[in-house]
Order: sequence, then structure tokens, then C-alpha cells
Amino acid sequence: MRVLMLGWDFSPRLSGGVGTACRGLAQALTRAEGALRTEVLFVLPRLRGDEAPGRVRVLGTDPLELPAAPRAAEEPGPPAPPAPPRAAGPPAREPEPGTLPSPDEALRLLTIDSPLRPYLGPSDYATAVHKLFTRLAAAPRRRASPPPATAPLAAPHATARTAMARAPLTLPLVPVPPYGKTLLAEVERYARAVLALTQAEPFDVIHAHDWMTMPAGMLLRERSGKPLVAHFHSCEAERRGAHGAREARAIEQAAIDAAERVLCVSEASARTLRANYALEYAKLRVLHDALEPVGTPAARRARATRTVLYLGRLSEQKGPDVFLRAAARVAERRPEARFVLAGEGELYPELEALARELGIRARVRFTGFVGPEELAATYGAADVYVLSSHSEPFGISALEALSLGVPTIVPKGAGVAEVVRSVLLFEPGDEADLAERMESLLVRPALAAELSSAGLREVAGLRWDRPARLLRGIYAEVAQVPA
Amino acid sequence: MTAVVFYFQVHQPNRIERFKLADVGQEPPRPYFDDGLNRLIVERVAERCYLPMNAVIAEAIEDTGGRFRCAFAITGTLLEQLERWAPAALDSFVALARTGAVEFVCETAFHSLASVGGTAEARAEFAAQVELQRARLKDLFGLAPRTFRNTELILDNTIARQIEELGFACQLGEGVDALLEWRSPRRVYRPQGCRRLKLLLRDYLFSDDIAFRFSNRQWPEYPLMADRYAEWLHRAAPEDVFVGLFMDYETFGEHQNKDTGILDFMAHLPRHVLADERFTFATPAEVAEGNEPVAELDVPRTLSWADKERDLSAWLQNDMQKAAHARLYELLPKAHAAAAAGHPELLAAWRKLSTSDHVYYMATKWHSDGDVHEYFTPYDSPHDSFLYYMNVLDDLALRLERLPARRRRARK
Repeated sequence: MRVLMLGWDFSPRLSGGVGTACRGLAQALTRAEGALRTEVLFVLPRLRGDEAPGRVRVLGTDPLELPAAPRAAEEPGPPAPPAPPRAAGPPAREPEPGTLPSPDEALRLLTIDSPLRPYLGPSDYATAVHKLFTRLAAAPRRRASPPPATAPLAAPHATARTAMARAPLTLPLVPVPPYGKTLLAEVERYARAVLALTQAEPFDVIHAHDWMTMPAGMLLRERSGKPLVAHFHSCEAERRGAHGAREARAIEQAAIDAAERVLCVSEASARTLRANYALEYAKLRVLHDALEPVGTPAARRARATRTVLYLGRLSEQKGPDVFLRAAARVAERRPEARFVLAGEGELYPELEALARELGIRARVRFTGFVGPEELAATYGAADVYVLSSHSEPFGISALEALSLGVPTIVPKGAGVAEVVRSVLLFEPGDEADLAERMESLLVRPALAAELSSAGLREVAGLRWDRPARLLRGIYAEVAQVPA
Repeated sequence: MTAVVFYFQVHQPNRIERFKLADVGQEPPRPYFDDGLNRLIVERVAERCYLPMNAVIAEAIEDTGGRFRCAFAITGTLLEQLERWAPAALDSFVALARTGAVEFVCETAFHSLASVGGTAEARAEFAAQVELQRARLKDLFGLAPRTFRNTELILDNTIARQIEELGFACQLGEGVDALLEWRSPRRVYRPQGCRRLKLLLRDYLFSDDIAFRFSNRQWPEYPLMADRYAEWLHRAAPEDVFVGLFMDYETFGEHQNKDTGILDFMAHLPRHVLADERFTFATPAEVAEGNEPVAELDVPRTLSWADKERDLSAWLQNDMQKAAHARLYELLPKAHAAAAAGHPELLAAWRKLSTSDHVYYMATKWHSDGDVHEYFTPYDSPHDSFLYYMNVLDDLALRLERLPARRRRARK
């Protein structure tokens, strides 16, 4: 079975849960040998250099020159000449220096230069691209790779809706690839890039993760006739509720219509999908996320203070404000309580101000970004872990905390509560209820001990092999080849 | 002759409020018990089970001219609830007592774990709770109980000796395989170290046919009819002295609702059992009186009828349960002191909190008997029930601490 997987950065830094899930699934899929052997060609936007080490091979490099979009030909101006991907020939057989050149690797990576990130909204996109340009402009130019001869400043724009899109960008010293002007345009450009770069690749199934990769999935499906599996780690209804971007919803609906199978990460998420989209029930499968160990539980040292941890993007859906308001209630009653918000995000300035306003700034620490190598230590320093999200299709971080023996609080209805029972539940958005749970865990050592020991036992069985096994069955179903 | 011995456990706990940390120490005090819920449940169970099933039993006694006989252990917590919220059901139990065909079995008034409290204070409290129940049964039903069953048939050598010292002639227990080995549960035994006490054990296979399997559509014997079940009973060996059919009374109409046919089953069973003249019905005390023990049974490890482990793990397995139990018994001396100092309401509250159901709700046996625990619990999770319970205990502790000061002020 050969799978073309349209995924996200392997690093949790950029992609949150969806990146972790993609990595866990792809690696578990490709671990099996023999009749179960599954090969994964993993396509993702932009290489950052922090993907899983070893055992992967990088195919494409940026910048790309892409075949013009069919629509571009209808527009005025000279049609762009279709150019082959820079990695000439079947790219799979041309290893990059510095990567493992073993042609029979089951898992290969193909990166495509793009500023796409999971959870971007249309308005964040412009900011993200602007930031990226600024960063690139400020960074010393790398000499390791030769500067692209065909500087893409005038390269044909894949979407080419307007003449503006093809106009040279205004940062002349930086090799700026022709990113889409809007998020939607970039999603579309990405889809064409994927199509162009995978033309020589054989595959049996296409597996697309979250809406931004789904247009690529649909395009590949149309061109290759291979079945599409559309995997929703979250849907727009969950991310932004009623305020969700209409375009994102439309793409999600189109993918649901086109896909042979629709996957989601929990029963709760399945209910949301069914309530918000037209969805043929027979297509839907629940594939609960799992855990990739982040470390081993360390012995707890006695401490004078007790720490309650938030770890995740500082974004509205994750409810960091609910966390802070609950923290303020606990702080009032428990002088020993301290609070840590680990993660970065657009809400940081507001949250910092909120902590001041609540009078708990001195007891709150914002750590900023936490890298994969710091994860275990961050969890390990906490007495309580809180997932304060308003809605949480799954919540992999809760599994990580439990795997390190940290008692965990999650919102009622979170997908993770479908697979573990050793968590405390609170009413989403209810800061008083959350405060009650936080304080309870600080003052009831027997409860903390129970959640810690029972939680460890529960997550021990929740590895990615299980969903990967289910997934092989799903692939076989749609590809109609024996698993 | 083989006697069929029906014994019914009849019990409802006083479920506690969703008591928050901030409720601890509030003035006026927050109520500990969710009487709205407790009333709702006892009214429902009275309507579905106690009233209709008591009618079935009264009719069976009348139809058989008193040859159908059975025993009840109604806990003190339930008796109090019936008095307050379902007096008609209580009256119907009293009416059954007047037939002379029904024995009322004694236990701790609060269905507590005092017998395994571990301290001398707990042992004294156990005896006190037994005496309370004994007096109440005599008062309500006019008979001094002769048989004892401990909470959920919890039993070991030590408990049996204490029961003998308290003057009971007969005790009920679970027919655990590990205890009986090759022996039959259908004989009378004597717990090791006892001189007079006789032990009657539950025949769990026959009991669970009625209590659990009756309504299970996957069971090959489904649907079970009274004549067929009587036929199984009639296969007993001649030397089988009795068959102990011990179960929750709520089996009839509540755990298994009326539509399963469970009430009709019981209505027809006596006639079918008595159709074979080698069979009778008897109460536990009658069996104990008419039969000498065939052997001593050594019960070094504490047993019960709960869960598949048949031990104390339904109540005292995880950290939460142990912490809650320990904290409760830590407060016992102070609760006694408070009662002696003129505050019996605090000891009364302590005793209602000693009901074993509270820690039963905290069990985290998700995989084995989790469904059974979940069926009974009024809370969202074992963790919640632990939190509410501990908050209530904290409040009680606070009020027990404050007492002496209040009294001193009163004296001045």
C-alpha cells in the first residue's frame, strides 16, 4: 500500500496537535513490514529543519517553479511556460546531500515551500506572510544552497488571478517564492505545487489532513482517480464556531463530498461534523489520536509552591483567558499556587494585560514557545495540567501530561475523555468550575495520586499503532487491495 | 428436606450534595445530603419495587397458607427515608411482619464499613450501629432479630466472633469458591473461633440467575420461567439442607423492571417449588435452628458479595477510597465526643456519611465491574464523588473542632 499523505510539519512548534498526529500516524504506518508494509510519501509545506531525525528523505526544495494554472491561460498576459519541478527526473531517486539516501525507506518527506500553517485564518495569513518576509529580510542569506538562478520574483503565479499577483514583490534581496496573496490563493497554489511535484510518484491512496491540504487532495484525486481520505483534526465549526471562514467551510464541505472516507478524531468531533456539514454517514470513521511518548515520569520533589500548567497556542479556542480567570480564583484561596502558560500565540499581549488586571501577574509565568526537547520538563514541573479549550476535538497534550504522571483537567466533551477516564472534567468556559477542579487537585493529594497512577496505566496502551492499524484497514477498504 | 431461603437486602443511601470547596465552613451550614434526589429515588423505588413486590410476597404467603417464607434486611438509612417519604411502603413491610412468615435480619443501621474500620473506636461504633438497628427492628416489627448480615455480606473470622458476642445465632455470608473449595454452599457452617454462631452462605449461581441473568437476552436460558427454575432447584441433592437465594430486593422492579416479567416470576415460583414435597421455604433463623454445622470454616481474609473479586475492593481499593475511609474514621472519636457534649446531630451526620455507598461510588474499576458501580452512582465520575465527599468531611471536621470553644462560651 502506497499512501500519498498531505500533512503538516512534523514539529509541534508550528502545527500543534495536527503535526504531532501526522507524525505519529505516518511513523506507525511505516513501521510494519511484510504484508502490512505501508509506504508513505509525506508532503508538507516548508521545511524548517526540525522534522523527525533520520529515516526520512527530502525530495523537493524551494523555490519552485510551477506549471501555470489552467485558469491562468484564460487571463490576459503571456501564459506561463510549464516548468518541471526543480528536482529533475523522478525526485525519489535523487537524495539530497545530508539526508539518508536509502531508496527503500517506507517514509519519505516531500516539502513544498509555502507559508501555510494549520489553524491560520484568512486575516492571520497576511500577517504571517508579512512576518515571514520581514524575518527573511533580516536574516543573513544562507550561502549553503546556491541562490535560485531563476529568481522567482517574476515567476508565474500559480493562481494568477490578477496582474498584481505576478508583479515582482518589493523585497529585492530576498528570494521570495511566489506565495499566494491571500490564504485561499495560497491554498490553491499549494495544491498545484503538490500536483506538479508528485506527478512521477506512484500511490494508491491520498490522505489529506485538515482543510488547507484538502484542495490538493481533491485535485490529486481528480487527476489520478485514486481514492481520497479526508482527515479532520478539527473543522472550521470547531475552530471558530459560527465565525468560521466561509471559504474554509466551503472547502471542507467540498472535500467531504469528494472523499471516499472522512476521518475525525473523536465521537464528539463526529457529532460536530454531522451537525455542521452535509455528510454521508457511511463515509465517516472515528480515528482517536494517540500518544507518542515525550519522556518518562520523574520523581516529584517536594516544593513549597504548586504549579498549574497551561500548554498550547495562546489562541481563543484554547481558552487561555478562562485559565487565567480560574487561576485568579484559585490564587485568592491558595497562596502556594503558581501558574504557567507555555506556548506562543496572538493573544499574548492581551493575556499579559489580563493577568495584571486580575492582580495575579506576579504568580503567572509566560514561558513563550516550548520546544519538543523541553516538553517533558515543562509537564514534569507541573502539579496540574489544564486543557482549558472551549472546544477540543481531541486534545493530545492531555495524553502527554498523563504519560508523565501529571493529573489533568479537560473540558467536558473533549475527545480525549473518550479514551481516558482518569481526568477531571470541567464545564467548558466555566471559570468557576475550572477553579474548583484546579484547587481540588492542589488540596486533595489522594485524588492527584489516583489520577496520576491510573492515568499512567491508561495511556500506556494508547500508542499510534492502534489508529495506524485501523487506518490500514480503511486504506484497504477504499483502495480495494488487501491490507 | 431442602429449604429454599430467600433473603432480600433492602437499602438506599443518603446521597450527598455536590458540596464545593467554598461550601466548607459556611454559615449557615450547607446541607450535606441531597434530600431532593434521595426523596425522588426512594419514591420511585417504592412505587416500582417495594409496594408491588411486597404485595406479591403477601399474596404468596396467603396462597400457600404461610408455607412461603423469606427474610429481609432493611437498612436504617432506608427505614428513615421510608418514614419520611414513602410511609405506605413502610406500612406494607410492617404488614408482612405480622404474617409471621417473614424474618427481619439485623445489620449496621447505616450499612457502614465500621466492621473494617480498623480501630478500637470503629469496633465500638460497629457494635453501636448494630444495637441501634436491633432496637429499631424490634420497635417497628415487634421481633428481636436473631440473624445478622453485615454490609454487603462482608465477613471474616474476627467479624463473625464479634457478631457472636453481640448475641446473634446466625450470620449470612457469600459462598465464595476460594473459601468453600470442594464444599457445598448448601450446608450450615461455623466460622472458625465461634462456638454458637451458624453461617449460612449464598448460592451465587442460583441467586444470580434471578438477580442478574433473568433479564439478559443473551443468556441461553432466557426467558427463564418459574417452573423451569423450580425444576433446577428440585435437582438439589437430598443432603442439601438449604439453598441460599440472597439478593438485592430492588432486583424486583427496579434493577430489572416490571416488563422483564420478574414480578410474575416471583408470584409463580412458590407454587412450583412447593409442588415437590421434599422442598420447603424457610427463613435463615429457622434453618440455623434446625441444623448443626457440618464443619468449621476459616475466613482469614475479609470477603463480601461485591464485584467479581468478592472482597473489599469495591470500597477500599484506590487512593481516593482509602483516603476517604481513613479520614472518616479519623473523625469518629471527635464525633462521639461531640455527641457526649450535647451535639448528637454531628454524630448523626457522621453516621450517615459512614454508609458504604459513598466510597463505592469512588471505585475506578472501569473494566471489570465498572458498569455496576456506574449504574448506582448519582455523580458524573468517581473523582467527583470523592471531591464532594471530602469537602463534606472537611466541613464536619471544622464543626467538630469548633464545638469546644462554643461550649466554653456558653458556660460563661
